[in-house]
Amino acid sequence: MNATAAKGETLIELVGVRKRYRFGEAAVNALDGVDLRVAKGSFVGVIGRSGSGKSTFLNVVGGLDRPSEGSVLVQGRALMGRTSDELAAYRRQVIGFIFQSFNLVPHLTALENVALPLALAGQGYFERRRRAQELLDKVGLGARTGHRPTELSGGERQRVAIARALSNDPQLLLADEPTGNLDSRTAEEIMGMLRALHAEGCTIVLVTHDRERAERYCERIVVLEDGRVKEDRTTSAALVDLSAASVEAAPPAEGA
Amino acid sequence: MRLSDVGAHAFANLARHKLRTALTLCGVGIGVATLTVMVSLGEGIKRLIEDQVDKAELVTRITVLPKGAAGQLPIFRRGGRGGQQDDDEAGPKLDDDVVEQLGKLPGVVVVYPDTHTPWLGAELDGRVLQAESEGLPAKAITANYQRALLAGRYWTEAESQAEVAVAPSRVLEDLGIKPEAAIGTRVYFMRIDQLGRYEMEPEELPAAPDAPGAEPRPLRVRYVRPPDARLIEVEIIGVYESEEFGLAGRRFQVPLTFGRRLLAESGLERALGGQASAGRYRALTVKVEGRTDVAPVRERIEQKGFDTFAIADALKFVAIVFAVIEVLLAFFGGIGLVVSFFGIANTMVMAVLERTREIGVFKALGARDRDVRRIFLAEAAAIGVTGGALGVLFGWGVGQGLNRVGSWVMREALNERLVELFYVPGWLAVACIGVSTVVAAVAGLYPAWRAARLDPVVALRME
Repeated sequence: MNATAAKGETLIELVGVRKRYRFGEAAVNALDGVDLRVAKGSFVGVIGRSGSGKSTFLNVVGGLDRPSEGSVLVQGRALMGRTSDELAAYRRQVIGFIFQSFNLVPHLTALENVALPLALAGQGYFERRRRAQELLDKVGLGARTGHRPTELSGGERQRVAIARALSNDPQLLLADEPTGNLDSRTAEEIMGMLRALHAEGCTIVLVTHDRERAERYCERIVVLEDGRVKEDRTTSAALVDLSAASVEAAPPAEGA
Repeated sequence: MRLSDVGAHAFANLARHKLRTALTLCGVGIGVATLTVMVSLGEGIKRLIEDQVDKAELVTRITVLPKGAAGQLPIFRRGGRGGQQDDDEAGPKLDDDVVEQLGKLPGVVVVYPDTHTPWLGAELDGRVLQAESEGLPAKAITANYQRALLAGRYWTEAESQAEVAVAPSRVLEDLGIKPEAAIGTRVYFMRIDQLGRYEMEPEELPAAPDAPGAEPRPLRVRYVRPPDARLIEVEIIGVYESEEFGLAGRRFQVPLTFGRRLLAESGLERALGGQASAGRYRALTVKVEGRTDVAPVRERIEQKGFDTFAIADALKFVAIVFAVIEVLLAFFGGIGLVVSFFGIANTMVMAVLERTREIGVFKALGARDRDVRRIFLAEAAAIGVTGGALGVLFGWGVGQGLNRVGSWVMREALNERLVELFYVPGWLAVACIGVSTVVAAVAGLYPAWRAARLDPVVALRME
């Protein structure tokens, strides 16, 4: 995390981004001319109904998908034209993904899951395990490192996923409906944890259809509709003093 | 991603799907085992032949013949004019001068005339048999000869005039005499045409003519030696392990001087060519120090106007024949590997399908296409290595089993000694595992390529 990054500086910029999908004869614009800046250290909630293009937006920003038109700039440098290896390096070094369905590798332990991005980055065995342990301690699962995902509750799995997303010290956390599969109490815990990370200086883009929760936690709301930005505003949450928030202070997950 | 991590990941994945891995490994293992068994058969036979050649030190031996005589005994020549050699051949003669000259060539250990007598009668322990003799100077008795001794000893330099013999184990075995028991006993040599005959007669003369219906009296076998037989009495001082196959199994080794006498007494001297007793030989044997000495020494000898023959020529041909045989055996053995190729490809295609979502996750976390490709290639190769190792073990076991059965058959049915027809040398084991690994990796190429090409967005959407 770039806790030291100056707020306000642009981290990601989308300029006229279009993403067109073809279904035989018909073409659908999942993104239809999106212009957006995400400042360093901000906590942006992207909300919209199913099919509004929010997942495509996340994939394009995360370098998993390439826009059909327009460009995505990361710290002023375009993602366009990068090779698939360069995009992989971008995901490995800049991005941390958090998914709705956690997407933990089922046969790896919590520790191994958290260490996985570091293994992909070529880090040594002991070094990455030490780092993974540190992160699991941070999300309150330091005692459950040897458990496999099936032995963890939904909230715990998402904590492991967050620890995994943080393992490579990303500049940008992309969370795709991270609370979609959780009960509301656990959802609050996870959101609290994201807010704490934000407080530490982490830049977070959260995609959700849960407008109410986004309003409470995010400092900026972007509403997507039919692939366009329909609304872009700051929230009252932006005024909340975050100095007291911390990840460790987040309430423990169920069963922890 | 580090290669060590890729490998560890591959084995972990295989270990997770125990049944599927086991089934695939069975397929690969059986394929590799077939290959191993097939090629080890070729290797075994080749080794058998090479061992025989080595034991007889044939590789470091050069046979020197008068010009134009190569490969032909006078009696087998067209027209069948045995003993006409002197008139036929124009080149220099093989005599004691030549023996001395050749003995001085660099790399030569010893030169001695060929006194091999292929037909001799021998009487041993009251029984007769056809035997051969070969005269050897004490210097020609190398460590290999000493190693082959089962009992007793060879003659020494000081005993070069002695009339002693080292008997072949095969003859004693046939007569049911233990090697140790043969030491000190006598063998009587004679011309082959003086071999006596066996006569059969009733055990006892009847006191009265046979009563009708009486039991026929058992017959007794008696050896009758011709009254004019000239016997040469020899003491057996040693027994060597003779070859299991072939004609050399009845060859008595004797000191060179005595060998000449036996050849002369055999009456075959002129028929075989040369006249050893008069110092003219049909052939000389040149023993050189090592394999590499064969070629230069041969060249020097041929410059002197003689023909030479070295087993190395024949061995080259044997090597070619065996290379062809092994390729054929490997081809048929390789069919099993082709089958396992498809088995592995199938397993890997399934693995990619099943782990599509996982591949998406890996890519989202920053895995490059080549990382994904390597993961699946490594998994396929891991099947190949493991299956190859199991297959080699299994194939080796099958070969050992067949060796046992083969030895039993040889002993019970053919009265031959134990043979190892199936032999897995180290290089064969390594090669089989290597081939199996490569085949597996190639089988994994397409599935791995598909996995690497997966669109992460699509892969992540997979349920």
